[in-house]
Amino acid sequence: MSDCWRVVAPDLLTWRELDAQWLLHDAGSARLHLLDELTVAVLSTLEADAASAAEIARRLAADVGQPVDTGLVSEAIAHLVAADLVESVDP
Amino acid sequence: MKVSDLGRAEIGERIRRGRMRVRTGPLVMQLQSPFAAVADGVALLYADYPVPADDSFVDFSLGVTRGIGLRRWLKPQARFIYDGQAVFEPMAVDHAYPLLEWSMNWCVASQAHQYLLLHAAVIERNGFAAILPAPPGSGKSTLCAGLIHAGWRLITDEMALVARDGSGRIWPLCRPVSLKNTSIDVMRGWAPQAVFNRVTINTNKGNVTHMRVPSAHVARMDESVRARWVIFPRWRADAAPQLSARSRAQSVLELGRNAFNYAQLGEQGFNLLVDLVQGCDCHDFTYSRLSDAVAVFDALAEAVRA
Repeated sequence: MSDCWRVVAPDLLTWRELDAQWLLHDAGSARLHLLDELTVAVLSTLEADAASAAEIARRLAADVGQPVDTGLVSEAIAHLVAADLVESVDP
Repeated sequence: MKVSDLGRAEIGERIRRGRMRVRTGPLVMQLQSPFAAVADGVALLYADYPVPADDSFVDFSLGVTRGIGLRRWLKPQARFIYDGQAVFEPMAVDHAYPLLEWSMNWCVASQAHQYLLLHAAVIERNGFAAILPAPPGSGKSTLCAGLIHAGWRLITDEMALVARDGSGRIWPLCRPVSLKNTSIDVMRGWAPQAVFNRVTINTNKGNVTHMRVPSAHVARMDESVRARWVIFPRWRADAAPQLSARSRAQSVLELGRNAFNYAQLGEQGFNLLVDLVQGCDCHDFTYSRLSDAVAVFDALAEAVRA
C-alpha cells in the first residue's frame, strides 16, 4: 500500500451532517456515501493536505488529544480508496 | 371534463387515434393504442381523472401498439412506443394494459427531472405524509393499497415527485395502484368495494392488476404534501408488527440509492434528499397483517396531530 494519500477531487465533494452522522455526495461519480466519524476525520485531513496513514494518525491525535491507531486509519483509507474518494499520490 | 364524461366509445376512439389525454397529478399523458383492453382499462381506472384540453401541453405521448411483421397475426404482440421508438421488448398482446401502465412509469422515471424522483409509495393523513421506500417483494404496494382503503390518502404507489424548489413538498401522481400475485386476493378481501382491472396472468412480474384510486383521492390530486415519516416496510409471514427507529442518514442513503434521478440532479438532489429526510422520523416496519399495519400507522398519525 502507498505511503501517501490524497483526495481524488476535493472540489466535487459536498458534506451534510445528519444526527451526528456524515453524508457525502461525490459529484464526480454522482454517488452518495455514509461515513463513520473516523473516516470523515481521515478524509477531512486529506482534504487539507496529502498525507500518509501515520501522519494522519499523528494529526488526528493532536486534534483529539489522545492516541489514534494507525491501523484504523489505514482501514479508513482503504474504505475511501474503494469508494474512489482517495487515491495514492504515487504514480 | 373527466374521463368518465367521455363515455367508453369516445374513450376508445380517442385512444385509437392517439388523442386521448389524461392528467395524473401534474403530468399530462397522451395515449395511443389499437387494443380494446387498453381503452377498457383507461375507462375503468381513470374515470375520475381530468381530460386536458386538446391544445394543452402534453408531458408524455406514448403508445402501446401492435407487433410488427408476422407478429401482427402470429402470437400477436404489444409494443411500447415512445416518440416513435420502441423502448421495451414486445410482450404478449394480452399484456397490453399493464404494458401501458409500465410505460407510463418509464416515462416519468426516465424523464420527469423537474422533480427529484424517489422509488417509493407516499400516503397522507391529517396533512402529514409517510414515504414508503422499498424494494420489490417488501409488501410496499399491498401496504399502500391497504392504507388508502383505511383512511389514508394516496399520493403515489410507486414514484414520489419531490419538488425541486426547496419547499420539501411532494406532488401527488395518484395513479392506479399496481398489485401482483397474492396481494390481489389480499386486497379483494381487505377492500371489497375497491375496483380492479382484470387480472393479466403470466407477465414477467407474475399475475398483475391495477386498483382504481378512490374518487376522493383523485379529487385532491393537486394538493401537495409535506413528508413527516420515512418508513421502510417489510412483510414477513406471521410477524408481529414492529416499528423501530432508523437513522436519518441511513435513510437518506437508501432513498438516494433508489432514486430514479439522483445522479442527474447531482448536488441539488443530494441537498433535496437531506432536507426532505431531516424533517422526518425514520423507521423500519415489519408486519404480516394489514390490520396491524393500519393500527400502527394510525397511531403515528394521531401522535402527530396531538
